[in-house]
Amino acid sequence: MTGFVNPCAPEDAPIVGRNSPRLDSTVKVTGRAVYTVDIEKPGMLHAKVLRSPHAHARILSIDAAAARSLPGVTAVVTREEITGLNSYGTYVKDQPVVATESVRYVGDVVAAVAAVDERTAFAALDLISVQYEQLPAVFDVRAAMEPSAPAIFPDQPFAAYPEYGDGASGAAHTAHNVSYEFRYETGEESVWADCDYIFEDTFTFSRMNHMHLEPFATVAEATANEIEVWTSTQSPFPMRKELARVFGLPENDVRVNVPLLGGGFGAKNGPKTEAIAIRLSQLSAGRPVRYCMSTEEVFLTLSQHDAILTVKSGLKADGEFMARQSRVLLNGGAYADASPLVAEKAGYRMPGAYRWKRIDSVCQAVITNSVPAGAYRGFGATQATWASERQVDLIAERLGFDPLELRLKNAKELGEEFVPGESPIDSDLKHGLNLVADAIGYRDRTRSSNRGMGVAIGIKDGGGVNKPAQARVKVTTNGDVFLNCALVEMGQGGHSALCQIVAETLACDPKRVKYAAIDTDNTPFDQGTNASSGIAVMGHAVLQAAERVKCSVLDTAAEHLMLDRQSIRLDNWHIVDAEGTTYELPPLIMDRFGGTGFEFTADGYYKVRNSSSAPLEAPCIFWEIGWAAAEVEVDPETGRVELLQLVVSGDAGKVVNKLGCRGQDEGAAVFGLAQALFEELRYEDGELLNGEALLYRVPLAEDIPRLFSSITQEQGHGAGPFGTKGMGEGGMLPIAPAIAQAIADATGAQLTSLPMTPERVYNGIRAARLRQGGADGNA
Amino acid sequence: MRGQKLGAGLIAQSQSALPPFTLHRPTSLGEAVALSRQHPKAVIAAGCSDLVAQFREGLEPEVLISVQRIKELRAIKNDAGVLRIGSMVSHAEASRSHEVLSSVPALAAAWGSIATVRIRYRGTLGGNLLSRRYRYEMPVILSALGGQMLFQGGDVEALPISSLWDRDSLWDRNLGNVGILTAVTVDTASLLWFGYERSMRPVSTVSLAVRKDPVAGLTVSAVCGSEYRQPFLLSHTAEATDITELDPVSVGGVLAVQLPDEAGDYAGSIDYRRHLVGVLCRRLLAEATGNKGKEG
Amino acid sequence: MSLESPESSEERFAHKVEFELNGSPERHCVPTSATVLDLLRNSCGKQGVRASCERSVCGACTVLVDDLPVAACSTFAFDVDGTRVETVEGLAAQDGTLSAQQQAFRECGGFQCGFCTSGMLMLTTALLRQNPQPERDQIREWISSNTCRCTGYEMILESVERAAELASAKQQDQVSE
Repeated sequence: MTGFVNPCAPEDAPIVGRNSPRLDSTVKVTGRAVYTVDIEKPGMLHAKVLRSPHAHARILSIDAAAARSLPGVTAVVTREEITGLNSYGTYVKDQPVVATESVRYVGDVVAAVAAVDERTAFAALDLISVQYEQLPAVFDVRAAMEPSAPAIFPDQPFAAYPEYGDGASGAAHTAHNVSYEFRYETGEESVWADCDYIFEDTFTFSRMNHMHLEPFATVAEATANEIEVWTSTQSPFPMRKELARVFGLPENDVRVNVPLLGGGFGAKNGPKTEAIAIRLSQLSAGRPVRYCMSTEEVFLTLSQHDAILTVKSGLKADGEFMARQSRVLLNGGAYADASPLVAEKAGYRMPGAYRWKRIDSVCQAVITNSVPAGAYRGFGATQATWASERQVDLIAERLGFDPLELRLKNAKELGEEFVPGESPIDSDLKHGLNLVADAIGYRDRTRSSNRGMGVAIGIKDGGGVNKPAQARVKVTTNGDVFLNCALVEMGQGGHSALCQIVAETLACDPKRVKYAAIDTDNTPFDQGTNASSGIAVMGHAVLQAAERVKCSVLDTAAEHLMLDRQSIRLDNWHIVDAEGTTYELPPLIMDRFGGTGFEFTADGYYKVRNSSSAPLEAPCIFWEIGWAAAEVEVDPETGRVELLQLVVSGDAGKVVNKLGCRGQDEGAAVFGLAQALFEELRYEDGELLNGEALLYRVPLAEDIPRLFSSITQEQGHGAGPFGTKGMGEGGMLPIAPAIAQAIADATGAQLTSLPMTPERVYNGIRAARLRQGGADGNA
Repeated sequence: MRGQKLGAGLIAQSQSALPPFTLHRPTSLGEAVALSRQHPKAVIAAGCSDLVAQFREGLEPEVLISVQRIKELRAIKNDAGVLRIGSMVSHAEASRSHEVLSSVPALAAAWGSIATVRIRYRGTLGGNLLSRRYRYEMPVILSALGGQMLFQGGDVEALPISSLWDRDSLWDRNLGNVGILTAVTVDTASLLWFGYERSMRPVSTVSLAVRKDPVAGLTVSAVCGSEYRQPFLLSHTAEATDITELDPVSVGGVLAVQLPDEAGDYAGSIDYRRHLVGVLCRRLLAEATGNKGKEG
Repeated sequence: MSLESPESSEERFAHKVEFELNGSPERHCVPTSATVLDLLRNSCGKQGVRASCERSVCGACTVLVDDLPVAACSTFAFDVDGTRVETVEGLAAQDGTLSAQQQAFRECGGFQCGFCTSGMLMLTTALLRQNPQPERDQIREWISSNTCRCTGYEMILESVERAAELASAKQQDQVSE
């Protein structure tokens, strides 16, 4: 992809390590990387669980006496053993450690056992007798909202949610089987009267599993008064808070250690294996308990939200967008988990990349008897972008506009507010659209039969809402550096990037910076590794800590060497003065501090300022944008789609690690590609058909188009350190809509449901032919 | 995932806690047959790629007979118009075998395209068939070819591959013992053409063979494979003497309508499936006959 | 073929396995139902072998048995008796110098979370042994055996191409020495 001129950050000042391999590369290519699944403790016990075979049933009785008395079994947890423990959930606290009065989906945990080995644990589970009384179950969101549908939570669980700012509001339990509802509106309702055209369309969005290769896993050592876990979580401090709440302990008696993660993609937020392992350990005299799920159990633990999205948009005859109303139903599954937050974001992001005079969004998270849905890469924006972008294409076709030109006409300008009170758009959206369009030759495409192209853009507020982060940097006498903060490395390259920021600041080799192990007793506070916040939020805290350390080193050196503080600088753990003379720091430090020397330490902190005029508590720190263009060839007889070209682009603001940025965009794009064409959790009458690795199709190397590339833009407007922005989710957003429009361009089939299976494409082509035949007749 | 023994729920059996079994590793077929007679409920193990999954789904054999060491089961022969492939032949070996390549080259090509490179080295013909998973491809490929499974040491000597999906049959261990699958035979003397279409996998695959009928005419056998439904055998005998006389469109249509309603599943309604199978059969026949037929 | 007497072909519940692991002899007595994954991770301490799907689909546990890639999770330990087994731990030289494959995955960013990486490296090792100069199509076909959820694969394909380059350069160096 040469020949494009990006509005780039200056190439002349690259961040140190920009073009080098990630710092975690050696440990990962030698097999020495340690994940939670690798943690072993002396005397460690193994936990296994019994899961509900019913989608909805009352538990009449549980008899676990035989399991308890089986030799080798140290503890059994059923509802009796969790009396007094609190339930958990992000805003709505509805999920108990194990099922209490009822089970709410196939896979809900009914009982857990700890034993000396896994085989004994399984044998014990086989001895537990449970009597169920089956209850009517509901799987479809619309059906679940009918007053006649079974109430999945007859008693409304405790819920707490934020105070929103201008135009936004949220509430729990607003309708039958609705766990949370988010609303946003701005502009005058009267705008609709000025529209020349109004279109309403409904879209459906499928549901995927995260399929992180490392399953959910925890090793817990716990007594009634003290808990320590090693666990695969993206959010060590929220985990500590939630576990302290569940077990009724002070937070300083709960210690969370987080090794490397073998993938997360949003799944590893909130308790999964933790509470069960802890309770079993407490009942096993504090012996360590390992609870590691199998892949099949991961499928029964958390998923993405499938959704039905109805979008009504009004526009002027010349194609100017005027008003948009959206009604989104998210399938939250049996427990709320992060559904309220996803509802908030899906609703808030419905305007997409465009200028509207009136916006009115409602998003409801609906409770059904299926696997709980939670955070998933893209977080509501994937659902919103699918509907938003797809409708732009439908409108373009109806009114005879080129889909790209209609987008360029209505896309927000760099610096324009997303909505009143919110941060301005910090990327040139049109530049990115043209970039990907030109990269596949969109404007020069020949209209050969059955081939077509599409371009799309996705946008999400990045960096989390109102998110604080803290970091600590320490430098030893010899200039060996520690970075101490709670950003979890789950594949995104965050550890490497943050170490590079420290190295850049201290003017040292990034290899000298060690990312310290994460442990909530010692690591500075952070709200979690999510929302692409690593660089833009934590990066600032790290930068500030590194700068403060540098200042204290320079202060000490200036005083000791009697040099002008302003004229000296740090370089590779030497002081360089105005004349260019260098002074080694270690002898200076030994001289000054004596003994074993010293360790320079400083903390950093960052948070965006709160604002009541920002709809979501605070303006977002950056906008994460994904642009994509696709070319397909469709076999109209079978509906088979071959992806010929896919170009994805993100704006890094400024690149910290080139391979890292590229990997984030390409990895995210392939999630989008899979969602577009084949990957989905398949439910038939409430039964999950493909909840295991053989039947659940994830993309393989052979699914990637031969022409697949990413363009990392460096537009330089990011609010992160050095002009950076977050990466990792944007690349997923525009892929399905771009492919959908390419299919429409090729065949006339306008699809509104994901994934775009051969049958859907085939039926879409037939419908398009009928439509065209009908239109000809009516013309 | 497996059912809990008292029916109280689901348990996710892990591979590191499989129940141990008495292991036999015979080195000759005779020894294996004797063991199989002695232990009629024993599990016969080949490459084990699928077997571990079956254990995790609840299989708990007391006795396991590994046939890995039996050289006789790795033989491939092509004698007097019959291709005979040993049950322990791996997918990689079969697809490169001179005997297969020279007698039914399209079978070698199809065989070399299934699964993944990793599975092709490890997985065997016997394992692929006797796992009896709808999704696996060798039953689809070989039942169109009219493949016969040969057994020793059980209650049966030969069964057609299409019988893998029979209900109330010997596959139910309570009803009998098939013994040891030794080989699969394919009649190549009457075979005029074979082809396998997997570009629509996993939605649908189609294998198709054209044979000279022993009495008169040509028989076209097609098998439609999918993810959630058993393979279905579709067949048509045409009054033709030469393959070029077959009309791909009409024969494709005749085959497709035979697909029963139960072939419709989550990944494709029955209407779509019949349409798709018709298209894929037509395309295979066009290749077979060199005759495009009347395009639909 | 076998030195064992017919009588000893019957073993009950426990099984002795002797094999070569990364060039060194190993002898273990394991349950008959033990898998190679269990044997390598728990008896031999090779934690670089990763367990994920446990049903031979994802390939995270790929190791080499007599030069061929095998899913350790779905191969019984008794089946590696008398074979040569290789894991990611055996790729680098004793002094820690990375192999061509390891260097290439590092340089080209052919990993992210790292959980599929051991398996991808072993798959690459097997491919390059069979064909030191593979074309892109063959690389795609081989890499399609294993799942990576992070990278989107393009950077893995590039890593394998680069590994072939580095390996052939290394070989030329050795020849010229």
